Amino acid sequence: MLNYEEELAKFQPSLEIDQAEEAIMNNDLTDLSDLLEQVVTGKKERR
Amino acid sequence: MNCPKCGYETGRNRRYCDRCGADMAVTSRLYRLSNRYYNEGLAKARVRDLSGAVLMLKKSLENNKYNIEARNLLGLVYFELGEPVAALSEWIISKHFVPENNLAEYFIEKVQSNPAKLDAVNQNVTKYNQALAYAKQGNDDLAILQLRKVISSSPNYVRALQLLALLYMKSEEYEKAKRCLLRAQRTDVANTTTLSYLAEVELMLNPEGQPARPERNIEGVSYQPAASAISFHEDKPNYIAFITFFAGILIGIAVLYWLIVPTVRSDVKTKYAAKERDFNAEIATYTTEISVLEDEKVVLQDKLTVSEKKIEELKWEIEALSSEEEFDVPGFENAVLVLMEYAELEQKVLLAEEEKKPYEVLDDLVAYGEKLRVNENGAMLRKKTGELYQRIYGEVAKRVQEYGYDHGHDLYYDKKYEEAIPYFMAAYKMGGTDPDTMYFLARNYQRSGDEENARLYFQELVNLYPDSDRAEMAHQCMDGLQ
Repeated sequence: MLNYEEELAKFQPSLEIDQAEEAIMNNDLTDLSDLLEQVVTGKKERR
Repeated sequence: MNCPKCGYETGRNRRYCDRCGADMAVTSRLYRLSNRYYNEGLAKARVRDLSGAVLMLKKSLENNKYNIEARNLLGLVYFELGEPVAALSEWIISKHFVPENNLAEYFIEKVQSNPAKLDAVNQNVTKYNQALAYAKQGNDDLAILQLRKVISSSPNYVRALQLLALLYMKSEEYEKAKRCLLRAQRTDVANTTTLSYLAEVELMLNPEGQPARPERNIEGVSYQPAASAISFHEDKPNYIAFITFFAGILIGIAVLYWLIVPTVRSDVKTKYAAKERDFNAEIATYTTEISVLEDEKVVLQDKLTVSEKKIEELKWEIEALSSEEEFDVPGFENAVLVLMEYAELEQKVLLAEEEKKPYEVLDDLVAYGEKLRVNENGAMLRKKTGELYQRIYGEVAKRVQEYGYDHGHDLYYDKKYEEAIPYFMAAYKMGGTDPDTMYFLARNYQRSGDEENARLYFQELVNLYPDSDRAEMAHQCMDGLQ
């Protein structure tokens, strides 16, 4: 049996148009390449 | 492929950077992984497993954020799922990375070229959020109302369909929930939320474990090139609304013509028919009055004719007299005067009779009668003249007796005893001694207190008509006298 309250909690509000700019600005665009670069740069600094 | 160290864009299959010589093996591997995830995502999107496609494409972008194809496809999938803001975000970021020759530019232009549609989509998102808030507050009915509006406008909005299905399931409307979930499944075939809700609904609808109905054949979808990927339907003019409007006007006119106008006409007809009946009734009344007056006119004309005949006869007699021997000129002239007076008196009598007051000429009749008696007893009478006078006197006397008795009788019953006496007296003197006239003459004297005259006429009545009923009544009255 489904638990109504649990299922309802899973639903989140959708973004509206006026929230688009904020959503884009807050979008984390870090990928594994960036992480790799950070790791490589950090190793070099620690040397 | 960009070098992770210096950022220099090298070829895809290069092991080392052409500028700084950095090892590109890992970067190359990440790029290949990203592409692999993109392919997986594309394959899922083609079969409408949009939830799975989103996962794969996100993984692709985690490995390589510059994978423009993956980002553009992700935006497209978000748009199909009814998430326009997420879709625009991905396209804008894609255009930021690659400003030229980017399909994302086409997608953005396509969406922004129809502001009404974009606004409608945004309104749906707002209503969805409002419905979600209502549901979390416990106002399920309001939430359902809002969601139904959203779904009627955006039938492929998967999250709205799922939320509506959940609300229906809570209120045990499993058939409606199933319909919502099947619609959601048409858009996103392998959505785990949709599938789990469907399983729950099937369980509630088939509690004895009956075999489920065969699933509907859901067509797969293939990822189309950008030119035909998004099809926006521009708003066409709403011809149906205009047609309905004019049809309504025509129906209204038809109802007016066939229902209201006949009723109004019949009301007007009824009103004028009533007036016509009233006028006809008045005409009938006037016609009747005219008829009565014409009858009276005929009667009076007959009387006038009779009188004129009498006068004519008398004239002939006069002429006959003039041819007799021993013609008496003065006597003849007197006879002519008497006849002329008789003709005038006859006219007066006719007028009085017309006015229903013949007793008004009683005095004239009595005076004329006296004159006739003087002439009769006068000198130089001849046989014919005497006969003429007697005849005229007889008619005058008859009239006096009739008018005097009738009017006197009316006055007697009105208890106007003193007024009645002259009328009865005239009738008595000229009309002869009939018992009724004598009785009422005596009675009037008695009622007005003149007992002497009363006794006189009662006694004369008894003497002249001893066996009559009036004589017996006269005895009784005389017994009451002092």
